Amino acid sequence: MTGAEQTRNFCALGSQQTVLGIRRAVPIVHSGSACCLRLHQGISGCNGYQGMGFSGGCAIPNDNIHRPDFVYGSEKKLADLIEGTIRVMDADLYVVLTGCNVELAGDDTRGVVNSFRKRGVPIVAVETAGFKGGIQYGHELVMKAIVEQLDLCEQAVIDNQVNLWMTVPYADPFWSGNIEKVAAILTELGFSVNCLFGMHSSVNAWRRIPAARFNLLLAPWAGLEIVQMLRERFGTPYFHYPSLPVGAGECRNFLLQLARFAGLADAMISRYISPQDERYYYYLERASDLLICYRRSFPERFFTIADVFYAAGISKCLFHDFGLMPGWHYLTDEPPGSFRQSIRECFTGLAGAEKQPPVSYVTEIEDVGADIKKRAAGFTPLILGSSWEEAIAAELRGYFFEISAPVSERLIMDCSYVGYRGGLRLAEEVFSTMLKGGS
Amino acid sequence: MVANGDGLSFMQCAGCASPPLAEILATFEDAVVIIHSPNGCAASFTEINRKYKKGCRQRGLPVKNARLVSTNLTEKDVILGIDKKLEQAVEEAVRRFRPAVIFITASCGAGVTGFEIQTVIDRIQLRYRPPLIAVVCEIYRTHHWKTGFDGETHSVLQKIVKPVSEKSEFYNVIQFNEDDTVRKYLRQTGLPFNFISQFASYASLEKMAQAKATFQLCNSRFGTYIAGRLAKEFGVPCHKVPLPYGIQSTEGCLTAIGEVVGDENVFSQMIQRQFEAHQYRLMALRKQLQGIRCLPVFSDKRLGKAMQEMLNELGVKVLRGDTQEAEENVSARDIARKRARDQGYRILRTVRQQRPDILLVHHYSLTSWGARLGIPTVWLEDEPECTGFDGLVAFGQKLADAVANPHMVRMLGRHAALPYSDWWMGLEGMEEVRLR
Repeated sequence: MTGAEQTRNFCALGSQQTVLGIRRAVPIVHSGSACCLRLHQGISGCNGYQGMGFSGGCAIPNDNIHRPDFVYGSEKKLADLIEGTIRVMDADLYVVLTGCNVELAGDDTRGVVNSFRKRGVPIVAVETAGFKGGIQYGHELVMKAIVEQLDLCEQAVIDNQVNLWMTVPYADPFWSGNIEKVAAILTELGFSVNCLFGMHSSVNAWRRIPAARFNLLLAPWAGLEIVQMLRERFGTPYFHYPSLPVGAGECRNFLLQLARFAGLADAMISRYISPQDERYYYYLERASDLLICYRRSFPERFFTIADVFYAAGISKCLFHDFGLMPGWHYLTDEPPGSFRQSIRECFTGLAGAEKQPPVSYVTEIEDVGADIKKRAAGFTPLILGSSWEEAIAAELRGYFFEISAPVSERLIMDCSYVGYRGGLRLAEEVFSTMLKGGS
Repeated sequence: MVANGDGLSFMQCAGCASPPLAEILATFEDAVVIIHSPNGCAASFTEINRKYKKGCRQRGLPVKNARLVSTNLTEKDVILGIDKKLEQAVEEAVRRFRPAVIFITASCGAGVTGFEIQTVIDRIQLRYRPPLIAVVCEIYRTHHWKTGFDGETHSVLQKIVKPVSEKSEFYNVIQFNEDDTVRKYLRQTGLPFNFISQFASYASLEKMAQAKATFQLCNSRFGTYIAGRLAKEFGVPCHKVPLPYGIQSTEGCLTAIGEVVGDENVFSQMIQRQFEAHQYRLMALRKQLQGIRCLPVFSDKRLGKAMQEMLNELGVKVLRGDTQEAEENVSARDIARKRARDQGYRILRTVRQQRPDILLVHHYSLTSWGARLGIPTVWLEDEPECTGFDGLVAFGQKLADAVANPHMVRMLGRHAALPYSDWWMGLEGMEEVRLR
């Protein structure tokens, strides 16, 4: 079984997009022709039309390595490319990433990059051959490489500074809006948020990492290595929340756990939650006629096909806040085995989860569509997944809404389902899909 | 497929002909496309599938996924051997999709060679009924670094096309872009045409050799390849017709087809009808577009030339960039050099220096960068869908509208940041970055 006819996780080199998530950082890709463009197309273009960013897509410096270089080595070519890039492209950080063919050839990429760093060029190197793993794996490698090679030193802790680490830029089509929303919530609680990715990020933000009071990781598992590394190196504690805090219930959970971790007074959290709750239920009450309405055509079970972050967060919101019934959850990421038990726990409390969480990994199933068909027998399904799932939704005459990569039929700018407002936005979109009628 | 930029110190990522080709192959009835690579190379499947689904909708077919398979090579496979993964993928594809044909492609970035694929095919082909066809550049000793299809020794067609001794009464029409205008004109004639296009049936591919002649209406290299092989190996003459962009070329194209099929009258009447139907709007558009300075940036010479003639017919003033250099009959190395020169960082400076009223882009390395300079821009993502008289009018209207409403790009230009250094953007002329 190849288990991979439907690309969702791309490859480690896809973390060129991690670099592009940092403002004024430029990836320099030491790889074969077309790696960059293919990955751009899959992770950004065909995933919410997120665009090229500062220097992505066709602008990525790339040495387009091919067979002769592959045989004879291409370190000189890389050195030339770096030399050209630092003259032509004006950036605060250059990140050299390697593709499969140059790693197979055994190029000493780090050696080449080190010689530039010694000259004072802000440049780091990461080995991201595509065969080594998926994009989450590459994302973690890139973050670690930047932290290690930027030579961060210990700094005095700024009491309210929080470093914000979230899901993989671009691969999570809502990454950018999510960061803004989470940062806004934290700011309202009195934190000074150090955004490492997105609109308010900068290379200087990375240099301020050691000054944080704690690291906040809002992602299922990719990123744990970096926050653990920072705890060892600078003694910075971390708070990890593995699912999307969407809607009143999940957002409250997240905030209460965060408060406990950060030692915030209950009263402070209540001051934030109460007006949010009031607003949330003001709108929910207004929608209640529809929420409780029985129409034979409305979907009876919802299925999610997404990474743990979205599958768990969205399911909990739709189940707890909006009364919908979950069918099954197909997890698209490939977490290392050690995380799999804790990931199953993300789904406890959902209907059908009493004995065993209703969860499968896409990579362990031959045909997701066929599996949905089997599990949805007798029900009209609402399928919340990627562009790949439209076909099965149509076949089952169900409902379909894109929430996970690749999202090829939505433009996503600052859309985010984080927080109270995010919950309402999710409900608006899900119920609008239902009102429009099924496939 | 390769941009070997020896001697150049700065390059940006180059494209590859493999994904657009896989896009066409995946639409053929009952075809499966396998990519023998790690999953990252299969990232282009997302776009292929999006277009496939769009094609289903346009044809009123049920929306399905394209039949695409990645062998998902991992580090373990790279160490222990990758052939087994391909064998498994073929086995799985045959079992799940029951295909008529399986195309196997790879990505040079993954370091998988065409030879490796062909060796596996030769070993396992006898086990399967559907032909297994390798679609990789280097196995064909190609002269064009990005075609992968002009070689002499491969068997893409031989494995599909049925050889015949007698000719039938129909004509092949090859057109792989989704522009249906001229095909509609041809259908109006009632003559028997065998359309070789996206979503072609397997039967229409099998019978290509029976045709009396072939006409190619698009600029795709795959189309040129098929037409060429049909002529050489199966004796089906290929009649070169102009690409039907603009009045003159559309007329030329239809007239040439009319002459070959021996029905000149029907074709000339149709041309006249179409021309009259669009003449009024065309005149109004010409008035609107008069004196507008348009800079076309095309990565393909033939297409660029055809579009330039069309722009002339619309009455715009066509500016010359330096990107329309000849690329035929030059060595692969020279083409690689040209590719390296024709990259975004270089073209963008030309665009800024010329500052046209409208920028027309059909070039993978420019896309929206011109718009970020505040210049009204029309980006042609795929082969331009503006053939025939209808296409000319619709396209002219698009240009006029883009000039008439520049507000978005003007504001974009004020807010967008370019990644290029002041040193680079400030240079005069067309220098490349060449440090040694």
